[in-house]
Amino acid sequence: MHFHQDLLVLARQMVDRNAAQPIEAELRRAISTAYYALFHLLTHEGTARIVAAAHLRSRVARTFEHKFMNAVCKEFAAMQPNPAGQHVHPSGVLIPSGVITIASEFVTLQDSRLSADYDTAITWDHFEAEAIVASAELAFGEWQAVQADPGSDFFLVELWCRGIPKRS
Amino acid sequence: MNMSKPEFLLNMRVARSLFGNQRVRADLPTANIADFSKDFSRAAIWLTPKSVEHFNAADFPELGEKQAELQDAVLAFRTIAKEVPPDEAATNEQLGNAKVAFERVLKIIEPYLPTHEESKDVETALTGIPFPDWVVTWDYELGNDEDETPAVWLNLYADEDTAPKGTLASTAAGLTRQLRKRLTDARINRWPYVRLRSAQKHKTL
Repeated sequence: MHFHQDLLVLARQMVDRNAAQPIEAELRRAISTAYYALFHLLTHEGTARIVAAAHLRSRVARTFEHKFMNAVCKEFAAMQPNPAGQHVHPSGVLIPSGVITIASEFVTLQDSRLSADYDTAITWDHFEAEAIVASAELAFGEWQAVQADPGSDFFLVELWCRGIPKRS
Repeated sequence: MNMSKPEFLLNMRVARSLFGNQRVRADLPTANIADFSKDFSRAAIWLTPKSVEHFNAADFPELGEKQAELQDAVLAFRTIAKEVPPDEAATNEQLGNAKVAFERVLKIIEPYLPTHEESKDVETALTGIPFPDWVVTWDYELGNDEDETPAVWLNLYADEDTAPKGTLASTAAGLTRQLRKRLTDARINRWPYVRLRSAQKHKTL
């Protein structure tokens, strides 16, 4: 299995391990792991498309930035369908609705991850943590359905390119 | 200002939302009063000592004679809330008495809990969303997210016993989409986050 798949399995195991008497630290780790599962899915798929030399992909994967990915995902998630029910990026590329869902889940998961990792004022319960892990699983499921779509290629490239300064 | 005062007011702000946004299932047979009663009880997650936690009458000297009235109302509410086991439903009598006490508290501290114009717009946008029946009440928070993007966090309190575990994520995703569209249509420039929380857990924490 790939790293991102292992992370998703791990997130599920952590959230389910003590469902009756959950340990909050474990719930927090599950939420954080669920986010990183989606993050690594997207960087894995992005580099697989962008970098022909397989041995160089991990190096390029390190250049994906959470902050810029978040900004791109907000842009995609905010796209409203046209009268025909299609999501069309301002550049004219048709974006499958599954990508809209993935983008939305990425933003939500990142927000949850930051709260789970740093905000000790918030208390997490099993129900909430389970729903967050399930949202990462939902995103993985959506990816299965849209990964071959050209709009998905465009999305992945945007996730990466947004962090690269443009030549003036 | 004593540090307990803002904490008490924050608790009351949340409790006011949970109180005002309680939901009963729409598909119940109207003749079945017991079911309605049960629904009101499961939605009454505001009926917890946590709603008035950090209250200290001494924090409100400016209220004059209403200070004692506030203390009485808070004590009455807290007494009833403590009588209701967190994992059990309140009786109709407990609910009725708690409601009276809670509304007395709210009336006195209303000036401390202003609702800003934007909050009213956000509430209007949220109120029209057709939440599933297992959402017993809701609350929201305004703020900025980590990117400093203005955001709204919609907290949906779910009845764990009836919430369909297998479809929670897709339901939340659908609600997020609806919320985003409603905010856009209302020209509210805030990023929506939907959080699913356990109603039962809210009462026990």
